[in-house]
Formats: sequence, C-alpha cells, structure tokens
Amino acid sequence: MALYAFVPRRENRLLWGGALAAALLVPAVLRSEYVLNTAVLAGIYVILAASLNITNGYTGLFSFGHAAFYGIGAYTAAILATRLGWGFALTLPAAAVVAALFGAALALITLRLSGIFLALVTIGFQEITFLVTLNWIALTRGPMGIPGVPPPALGGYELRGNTGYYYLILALDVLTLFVVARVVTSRVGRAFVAIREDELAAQASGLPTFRLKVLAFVIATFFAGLAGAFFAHHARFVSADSFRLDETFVILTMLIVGGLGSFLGPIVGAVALVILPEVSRVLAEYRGVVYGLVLIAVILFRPEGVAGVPGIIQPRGLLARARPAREPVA
Amino acid sequence: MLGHTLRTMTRAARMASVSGPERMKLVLRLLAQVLLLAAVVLAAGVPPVWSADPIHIGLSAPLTGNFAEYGQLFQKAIDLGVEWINASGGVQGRPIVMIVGDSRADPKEAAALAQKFTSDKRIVAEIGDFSSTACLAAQPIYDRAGMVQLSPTASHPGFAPGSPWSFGIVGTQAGEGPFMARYAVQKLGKKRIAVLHINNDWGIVSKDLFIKAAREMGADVIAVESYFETDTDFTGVLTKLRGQKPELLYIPSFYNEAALINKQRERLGWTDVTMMGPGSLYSPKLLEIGGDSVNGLYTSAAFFPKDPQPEVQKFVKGFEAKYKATPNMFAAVAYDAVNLLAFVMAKSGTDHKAIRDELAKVRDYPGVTGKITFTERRDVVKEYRQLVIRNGDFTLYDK
Amino acid sequence: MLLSQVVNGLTQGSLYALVAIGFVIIFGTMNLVTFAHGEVYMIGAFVGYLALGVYHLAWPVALASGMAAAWVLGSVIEKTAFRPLRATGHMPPLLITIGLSIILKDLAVVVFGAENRPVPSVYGTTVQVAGVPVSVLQLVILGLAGALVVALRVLLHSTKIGRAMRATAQDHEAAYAMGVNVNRVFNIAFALASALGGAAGVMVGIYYNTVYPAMGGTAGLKGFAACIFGGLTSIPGAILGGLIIGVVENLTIQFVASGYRDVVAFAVMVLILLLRPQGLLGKRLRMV
Repeated sequence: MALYAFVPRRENRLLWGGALAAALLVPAVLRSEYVLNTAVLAGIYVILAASLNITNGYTGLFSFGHAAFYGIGAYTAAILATRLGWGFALTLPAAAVVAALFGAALALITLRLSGIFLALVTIGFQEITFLVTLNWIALTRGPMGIPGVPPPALGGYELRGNTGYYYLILALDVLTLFVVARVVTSRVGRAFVAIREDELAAQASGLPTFRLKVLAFVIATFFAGLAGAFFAHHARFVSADSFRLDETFVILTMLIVGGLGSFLGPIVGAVALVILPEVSRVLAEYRGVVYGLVLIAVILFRPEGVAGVPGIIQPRGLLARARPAREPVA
Repeated sequence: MLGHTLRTMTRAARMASVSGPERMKLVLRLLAQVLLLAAVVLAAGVPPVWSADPIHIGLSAPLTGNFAEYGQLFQKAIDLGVEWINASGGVQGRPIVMIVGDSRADPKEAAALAQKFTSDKRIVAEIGDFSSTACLAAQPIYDRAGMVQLSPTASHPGFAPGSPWSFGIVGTQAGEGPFMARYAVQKLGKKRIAVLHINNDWGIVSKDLFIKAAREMGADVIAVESYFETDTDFTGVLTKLRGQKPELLYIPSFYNEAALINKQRERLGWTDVTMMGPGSLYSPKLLEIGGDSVNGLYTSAAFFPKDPQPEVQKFVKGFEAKYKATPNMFAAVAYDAVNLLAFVMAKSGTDHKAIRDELAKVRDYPGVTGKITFTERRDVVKEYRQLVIRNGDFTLYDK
Repeated sequence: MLLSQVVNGLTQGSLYALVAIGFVIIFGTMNLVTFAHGEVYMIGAFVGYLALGVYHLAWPVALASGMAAAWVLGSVIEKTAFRPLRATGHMPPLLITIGLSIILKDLAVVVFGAENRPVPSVYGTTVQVAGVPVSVLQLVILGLAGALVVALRVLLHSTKIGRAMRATAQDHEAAYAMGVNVNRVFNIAFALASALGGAAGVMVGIYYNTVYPAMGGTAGLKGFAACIFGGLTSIPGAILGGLIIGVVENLTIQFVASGYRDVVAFAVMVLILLLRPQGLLGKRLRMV
C-alpha cells in the first residue's frame, strides 16, 4: 500500500498501535532533557503541519497565515493564564476556540479569493496580526512578550521535566491525528478533496463549497490554536516574533517535504525536519540553509514529498486558477 | 607495560587450551595489567593543578546579533576576572569555570538558556542577561529552580524585586532617570524636552522615570515617541518630533539605534537640538558608527576608566594588556559581577540557597563601578558621572 | 511638517516602487510570483554596503555593483530554479522561491552576522525646497528612481529585447512562434527585475545608514502590496502603489503612531484584494 494512502483504521490497528506503543517508550530510551525537548518540539510541529494539511493539502487552499493562528492560540493561553490564573485544562480549549473564531472570520471574509490572491491576503492577515500584537501593549505587552506562563498542573502535580511535557504533547498529537483521520475519511473529507481537484465540478454536483472551505479553515485553525496553547505553557514565554511569516514557511516546508494531502505526510515531515538540524552541529548552525535546500530538492525531484499524494503540486494548480487578463507590460 | 599486557592478552587468546587454575591466574593478571594501564592513561589526561572539582557558573549574554558588542565585553571581562581568581587559588581551593550561552538578547533564547542552566546540576549560579526584557523572561525559571540570577546590566526597577533570586548591580532607572533629568533641566537649562524611546521594558520604564523627574523640576515634556528594536527608519518620527521644536531630545536607546537616529537627524538638517541619552549609550561603538553626528551628545556613566582608584586602574590596565582595548562600563559591571560571586562563594560555599542569602547580605563591596550594597530589593544605588562627546571621544562634563 | 513627511513618504515610496516594478516584470512576463525578491534586494544592499562601507568606493560604484550582483543572482536563480520547472506550472516555482528566500537569508546571517551593518553617510546636507527642508539625499534617491523608471520604459519600448519582453508577456506561445527566444527573454526579465530590486536595496542601505539580513522580508511584502495596485501587471500601477504606501505610512507616523506604520501597506493590500483584486489600474480578472 502506498504511503500516501495510509489512514489509521481498525483494520491496520497493529501498525499504528505499534507506532503508538513505540512512541510511549521514547522517554525510557532517550533520557536526556535536551533530546526530549526536541521530541516535544516535534510533537508541536506534527499538530501544526497536520492542521495546515487540512487547508493546504486536502482542500487545496493556499493559506499562508497559519503561524498567526498558532500565535493567537499561544497569546490567548498566556493572557488567560497570567492575568486570570486559568490552568492549562481551561486555557487549552479556550485558545483553540479563539483561534478557530479568528479562522472563521478570516475565512468568511477572504475565501471568495483563490490561488495567489488568497495566498497574498492570508499573508496580509498574518502580518497585520503580528503588528497589532506588537502594538497593543495593554493586552499583549507588545515587544516585551508575556513571561511567567505557568507549567500545566494536572491535579496538583506540576509538570517539570520534559518527560511530562512529552507525554502531554503525545496525547494532544493522538487527539489531533484521531480527529484528522476521522474528518479525512468522512464525507466531509472527500468533499474537501473534490474541491481541491475541481472546485467548479464540485459546485456543480451540489456541494456547498464555500461552507466547506470555511469548515476546513476552522478545523485547521482550531488545532493551530491548540498547539499554540501548549507552546505557551512549555516555553513559558510568549513573544510576537515567534509567529511571523517565517514560521509559516517552516510549517509549510515540513508539510511539503512530508507530503501534502495524506495522513502520514505531516507526521513524517515534522519529525524529520525537527530532528534533522539536531543531527549535527553544522546542520544546526545552517538550519535555514538546510530547510531551504531540502524544500528545493523535494520540489525538483519528488514534489509529492515522502508520503504525499502525487500530483497535488502540478500544472493545473492553484495559481493557474486565477490568471488575470493579460495586458502588455507598460 | 603495554608490552606486558599485550603478551598476557595473546596468551589469554589461547585460553581454550589452558587448564582451570592456570586460566584463573591468567585472567587476574590480565585484569590487573589493564587496570594499571587505564589508570596511567587517565592520570595523564587530568590537568595537574587542581585536586578539587571546578565551580561552574553560567553566563547568558548576547554574543551574536545586534547587542553582540555588549555580550562579548561581558565575556572578555569575566574571562579576565576568572583568570585572576583562579591564579590566586580559586574559591575555597576550587577553580571557576564559566559555562557560556549565547542569548542574542532574545528573551526566548534567554528563557531557553535558563531552562538549560537550571537543569545542569553542575551550575551553581548565573550571570546575565544583558537586556531587562531578556532577564525578565528568564526570571520565572531561575525563580522556580532556585538559582541566583545576577544581571550586570538590567536596570529595570521591577527586575530585582521580582524574585528573591534576582540581583542587579548596575543601578536602576529609578536612580539614573532623575540623574539625567537633573543634568538636562538643571545643569543644561533645557525646558522643552522631547523623548524618543525604544519600545521595550527598559525603554518604557526609563522614559517614565525620566519624564516624571523632569516634570518635577519644571521642564515641559512636549512629545513622546517610540520605536521598535528592529526599526531602522527614523526619518518619519524625527520629522514629527522636529515639528514640535524641542530644545533637548532624550533617547533611551542602545548604541546601534542611537547612532542611526543621530545620522538621520543630521541628514534631515535638524542640528539645533541637544541630544542626550542614558548610560546605555556609553560605548566606543556609538562613536564608531555615529561618527560626527554624535558629537555634542550628553550621556552618563557609573564607571570611568580614568578614575584613579587602585582597583579601577588594576582592572583597566589588566584589560588593556589582555585585550588591547580600554574597558567601558559594560565590561566593568561584568567584571564586578563575577568577582562578587567569587567573594560571596568563598563564604557561603556552593549551595544555591546559601549563595543567594550571602549575596543579599553584601555591604560596601569595593567594585570597580563603585561600592556595591544591595538594598532589600536586591538592586543597588549607583553614583553617576556626567559625560559629553567631544571631538569623537567621551569626556567628563565639567562646566 | 506635513510637507516634510510627504517628502519622506515619496522617497521611501519610490524605493518600494522599484521593488514592486520587479514583481510586475516577473509576473507579467513569466506569470510567476517569487518570494525570494526581498532577499535579492538584501543581497544587492549588502554588496552595496561592501563597496561603500568596506572598500570605500564611490556611491555610484556601490549602486552599480549592487545592481550587477542582483542581476547575476537573478539570472542564476532563473536558470537553475525556474527553467527546469517551466512545464510544471506555478506552484513548484513559488515553493522554490520560498526555499531560496530561506537559504539566502540564513546564508547572509552566517556570513555577515545578524546585526545591523553601518553604512557611511552620503550627501549629508539639506536644502530648502519651497520652504520645506529636504535632504539632498532624498532628492538624489527620487532622481535615481525616476531615472531607472525612464530607462526601463525606453528599454521596453525602444529596444528589440524590450519588444520581445512585451510580446512574451502578452502571449509567450505566440512570441515563440514568431521566433522570440523565450527562454532568453525570461532570463533577462528575471535578471532585470532583480537588478531593480538590488538598486532599491543599495539605496535603502544608504538612506537609512544600515543593512541587515532581515531587511528583505518586509520590503518584499510591501513591494507586493504596492504592485497589487496595478493588479500585478501594471508598472504605472506599481509606481503609484509604492508612492501612495510610502506617503500614507509617513502620514500615519505623523498623525497616528509610528508603531502602526507597517500596518498601512498590509491593510492596503488586504483591502484591494478584497474589494478590487484586479487592482485599481488593472483589467478584470479572468478566472481560468
């Protein structure tokens, strides 16, 4: 079976059950705090890549604003935790919901556009969010960031070492991937793919394409916000410049390298690209160059990535759908 | 001896043909020779001087990025201090070893370094960071873990009181603000003042304290503008401020932007305003980058290399000899920081809490930046000098 | 002070316009969007800095070398990243430019360090123009930008290669059928656009007395915002967009707060995309 077709089902539960068991054993094998920190980071990016996959992969919408929702989730959690004293159990859903609300708002306003124009407007939203966060000092403390976000305390026991954080992010990963798998194998998921493949035909066959696209956005941004909340409680310091266009590019690179439009793609991409710079000192110093080279190599030689659906990145693609009338260059 | 071991090993290789008790003797002999060999090898690798474990101190500072100048000065001054401390026997017979992390003055990095340092069981205390924002970001982590966080330069009045483990030795803007206000209003007689400040913890509080003091002295603060750390375009905001016609423009900023602000101001033709900034501007880089445009800028310092005091001269001469450059305030406070820790640990040992308690009790420690006494907020009250830049150099203002 | 701010805005706006024209040339001729334009601008700026600040050459030499470096870089990018993907459409090249932008920025940090590099002052004097104090440098920049635009127009309308570029932009298949070496045209268009970006970079470095690896990011995005004015395909639209964004930014500093200046460009971009995606000067969008 091709990698891109894999979706966890009851039938293949030995496979993903085994993977899950292996994941559970990781802290027993990797003892170092530093290595576990890398594993936690990988866990965060799995959620981010998997959620971006819903819009950019399955539905074929070109969103470049993902990091902004990640940031909205992180700031929501940080503000609620430090100002209102809310615990992780409350800030997590709150952050996800707030991010999803913003996602819905953005989607409703902008999803009339497609292709490069949608990409540009999501970039505009991304940067505006960053600038407002930076300037609205009363709410976000602007460039000073929000320090002192408490670690998650589950039933009186406060998380200290990275082992606890690892299990927590693993749980969140399982939750996210479970939801993604269910969505993707449902009628809604198939509708997303129909929209990606040929929106006009999908519309003609009666699908409410606009509503479905908004739904894709809401799901994606919900989980981005979720990841943001976790990030806030893990790094314990939130600042606006972690959530810029650069970060969206990182997530997008992971998704493309892993493969768009498949279940395994984001997992493979996130884990590989988080681990890769840690393999050697040299790679860590040149992290940007490495990411860029990997992305370029993938596009040139294997555009579907490791485990992606072949053909998503293709000639009759997203930019071709909105070509303005040609006029002579002045 | 190596030959012996090899021979024993080759005999052992033919052990299959050897009988029981013989085999036992062979194994024991082999074991003894290997152990002896190992001991010799290990002993050769151990540095001959110290018979005790080193004491590890963490340093979190910007070694790269826009504040690299400051972090590198920290490192140089601390290395000099550690060299001298170790040369005279170390602390309780143990040498000091610095574990250095590059924070790039980025609060996220500082927080990450704090996590790293506090999970490293060898590190007993931390010196750093450079900027108040970075210190504040790392503070909750040192506080939770119970490790002393001694910042050479954080001057935000909320930093040291924020945690019983945080200490600052450069003085706060609560002291420097009024000092600069006195300089501007009373010494130089300026009554219409505008402020352009960096938009971060330190910049905001510096601006607030300066303005409060200046107003109390009867000056009129007619305009306040701010900029973000990464901004490089000041033409718009300078044009706006110029429109208000201030007599003096006070710029709580760091040397990089201060240099750009002055160059762009000069190019806009705005030369009839007095420029002044706090001691954060006191750095040779300001002169290098700002060139002619910073002549006539007023600033302050708590440390002046021409100070005749013997402690100061010893430090200055030692720094010049080792690095071929004159130290400035930033090197001096870092030097004081590491010496202060060594002084304290000689009495308290290396238990984290004992270090903290002993540090809090410090009275009249003779630092090169003046006497160090911690208030109950764990910051210090400093004495400043009035400076002005003339002919491309910092000079004392003595009119 | 209002007029001073307008002058500030026009100066900055002319530099945004140069970047925007680059985007228009690339999109108009090759139907491609590049996210690496900002980094080409940054590399041009650094080369200019090296010439002016390190080797102490005259500023026109710095400008020329910045443009030359950007031209070469653009040409190399087109040949290695876009030509092999010619047949595959629009997505792969876009993603490649994202990769390139990440690489170039990181390389700049590794080679030059992340900090601001100081660029020496050029033309430090001021003159009075109709009672408004204007820096001579501002006049020089406005003049240079204008000269480059005029030169571009001459190139496009009065030279063989210019006509070839316009023909390719109209319909590259027909142009090919008429004997135009489309590959060469694409390469020259990309390199030309890059050179304009490099020129803007050098001038920005001189104007603000500093260059730094991250300078390409926002500049590229603002250039995009400016070229949306013309619906991505109109050079006068891009120029107008750049100037308007520059002036409104400085008026925002004057009347609102300096922290919000960057929001202007993005707010403008979002509004135009939502209300009139073909731009203010472009024709109706054709949805294929």
